[in-house]
Amino acid sequence: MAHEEALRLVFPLLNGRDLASCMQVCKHWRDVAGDDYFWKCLCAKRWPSIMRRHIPPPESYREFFQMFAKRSHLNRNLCPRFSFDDLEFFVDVWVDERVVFSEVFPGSLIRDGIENLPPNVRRLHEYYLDRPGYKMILPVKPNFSIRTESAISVSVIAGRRDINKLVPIFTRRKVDILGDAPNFLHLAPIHLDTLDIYVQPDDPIFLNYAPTINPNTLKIYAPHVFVSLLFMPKQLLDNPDASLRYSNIDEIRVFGVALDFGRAVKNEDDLLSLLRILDWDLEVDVLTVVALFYCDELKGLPFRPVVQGIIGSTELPPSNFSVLACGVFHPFRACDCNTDLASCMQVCKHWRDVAGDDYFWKCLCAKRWPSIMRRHIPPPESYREFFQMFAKRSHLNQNLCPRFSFDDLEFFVDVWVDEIVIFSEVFPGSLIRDGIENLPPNVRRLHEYYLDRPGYKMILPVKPKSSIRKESAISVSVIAGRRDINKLVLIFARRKVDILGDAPNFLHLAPIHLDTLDIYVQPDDPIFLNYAPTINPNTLKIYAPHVFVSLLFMPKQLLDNPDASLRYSNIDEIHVFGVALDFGRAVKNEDDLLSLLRILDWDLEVLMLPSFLFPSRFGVSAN
Amino acid sequence: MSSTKIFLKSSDDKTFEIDETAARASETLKNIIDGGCLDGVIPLPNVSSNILPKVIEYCKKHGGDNGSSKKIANGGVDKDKEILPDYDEEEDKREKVRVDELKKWEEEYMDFDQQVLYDLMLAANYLHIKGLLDLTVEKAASMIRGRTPDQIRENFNINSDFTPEEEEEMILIEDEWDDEWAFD
Repeated sequence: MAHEEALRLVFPLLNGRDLASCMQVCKHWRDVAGDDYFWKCLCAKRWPSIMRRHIPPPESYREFFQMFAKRSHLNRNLCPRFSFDDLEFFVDVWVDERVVFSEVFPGSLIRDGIENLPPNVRRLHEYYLDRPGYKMILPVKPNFSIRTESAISVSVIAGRRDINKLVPIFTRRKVDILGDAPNFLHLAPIHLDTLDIYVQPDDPIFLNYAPTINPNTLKIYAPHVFVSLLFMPKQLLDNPDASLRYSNIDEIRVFGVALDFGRAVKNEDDLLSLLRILDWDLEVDVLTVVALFYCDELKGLPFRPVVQGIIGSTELPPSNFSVLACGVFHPFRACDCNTDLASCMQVCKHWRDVAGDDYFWKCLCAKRWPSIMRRHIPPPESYREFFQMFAKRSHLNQNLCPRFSFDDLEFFVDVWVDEIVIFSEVFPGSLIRDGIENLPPNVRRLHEYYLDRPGYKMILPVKPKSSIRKESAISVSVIAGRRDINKLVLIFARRKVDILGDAPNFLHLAPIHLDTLDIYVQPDDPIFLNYAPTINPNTLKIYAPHVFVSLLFMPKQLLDNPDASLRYSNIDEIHVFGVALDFGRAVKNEDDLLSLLRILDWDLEVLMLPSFLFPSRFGVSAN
Repeated sequence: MSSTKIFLKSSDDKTFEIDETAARASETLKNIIDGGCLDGVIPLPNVSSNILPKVIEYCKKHGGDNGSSKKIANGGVDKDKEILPDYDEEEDKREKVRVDELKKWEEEYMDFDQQVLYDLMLAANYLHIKGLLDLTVEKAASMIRGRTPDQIRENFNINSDFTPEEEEEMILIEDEWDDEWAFD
């Protein structure tokens, strides 16, 4: 049919969106445009290097294209995948080592938490609650009293009901009711005109201690979460009109617990984004509410009197059960008792058998995570293993450590010049590690200034070398693949790069022969810094331009005559020997890089099997 | 320069005359000429008499060369640069005028309805006239690019034969290939 022949001539000129529109014109057009051949061509055009590894081919290139094209912006990667309804929060409060509060909050309750506070408490903490930044409010019922001289510690653990996993948000830590950094308990100013004002929030100290995400290392430090008790001084409860100095408060009644992520979290979406990148890998069966046990069970311990006798004593009776009991109950050593009990297991066989009794470990678990124990049904097979696993990960700053190595990675790099693919290659992660070693010495010397700048750079050696004329339009795409889970993520979505290095989509050009050239020093330019926000601490979103792609090249003139003196403006042709990826100040070393890669959204499941080249180079000419 | 005349016969048995130089714009005709089959009339069973004059008009305009204005603009300037180390500004200007003039001609030439477009495209394909094929295919593509299905139907005079249910479940493709240059 002639009509169809004409369409077949036209459709290869269209992009995916237009081709999809064509499929909606009429049945005839749908059948013609639906031919997977056109979609295969589109895939090959956009992701040539992936097509080379993609075996077996997808059942439908159109579906592959749709899935992949949808996710072409990095800044969509951290959008939340779960809602508040999937969350629950385990909150425990200890006063002088006694559990005074232990509760599981559904995420939906926290959403409306602020509505559930008594009006006078809300009014009292107005200043704090109205500060910018999203606060999780956990209403405390029944409320409890704390004397201000008491030692207070708090632990908050988040649970996800959808995947039955847990992550510690605020590891059990002693908090100072006076609000000393770094582990302070926020105290909102009370009756501003009558009180000594203790304004923590805008204090420079506060700001120092609220680094949220450290852009230099990409690690999340524990103190970035602030726990505040929403309380009423007892005096004000007894007499609402009392005028009260802060220093005169001796007893407070707690009506709520507020979690505050400082400037990092501005709204619910930010919070979900933040929670999402945490390490949800503590698999625990979190099923229906069953108050399993906690303090009551501890009361039944046979050697409780012994324990009581030695509390506070640092001298431990040597070969006696009580040493174990001491490990369990020593009030201020909650963080170390795991190692104590574990050490006891290594003393001799007899001690091992005794200390290995899961009962002790159950007590430890109940002591450290009472609210989790209340939800933990069925109980784990071994409380010791549960404890070990959970205690190991009790610091937030361990959460982002990598789970895969460079050997698990591969990188798909495509370079277009004037819309023609001139380079399309798959690099194994291990090659990138030593990428810099693989550069010819003269190229390294030329780009020394750039390569020696602080910050880790991924160097992908380009062989065979590609030649590019300066006036050409160059675009680059970099996609990372994980061989361990067979998934892909877009690192640098195909984007036009300007060989002159104009922000935001610039191609870095290292200064060449500093003394003879017009110097174009981008790196320390204020513009550069503006365009390299890495992770924006205000929104926690990763913006696409935080990855910088540089071509490691030699001007043709210098290749022909190594001693040539050359002005930048006189370069007309370059030979490319490598591609460098640079994450700005965010990534200082390989671990940082792995951490960064880890939090990306590895959800493009694509079958990638070992070294196999797609039959035709770009998958088009076969037809 | 005098040139041999060649006669072409359309599918509806009408005969047209064309210079050999012009006919060489068509790869198909060129092969026939070079193959020595010039006796009499060349039958073109796939090209009708309302399209053939249009094809001949294009061939006359383009004589020996084989490209659209776009091709000449890109290819021509590049070639000059490579061959001539001393860049001739006058020549560049003349080149520019030629390209502009050709573009204007193409614009007028391409002013016809979409049925002619189809036939011309197929004729160009059949006769292997690359410049004309590029021109027509590009025009058809430009009538599709960035448009909604409704707009495409209007451009090509097509009635949708989908049931309302089928329209509902149509796929939507989020393709940012063209937009992703934009910095957000």
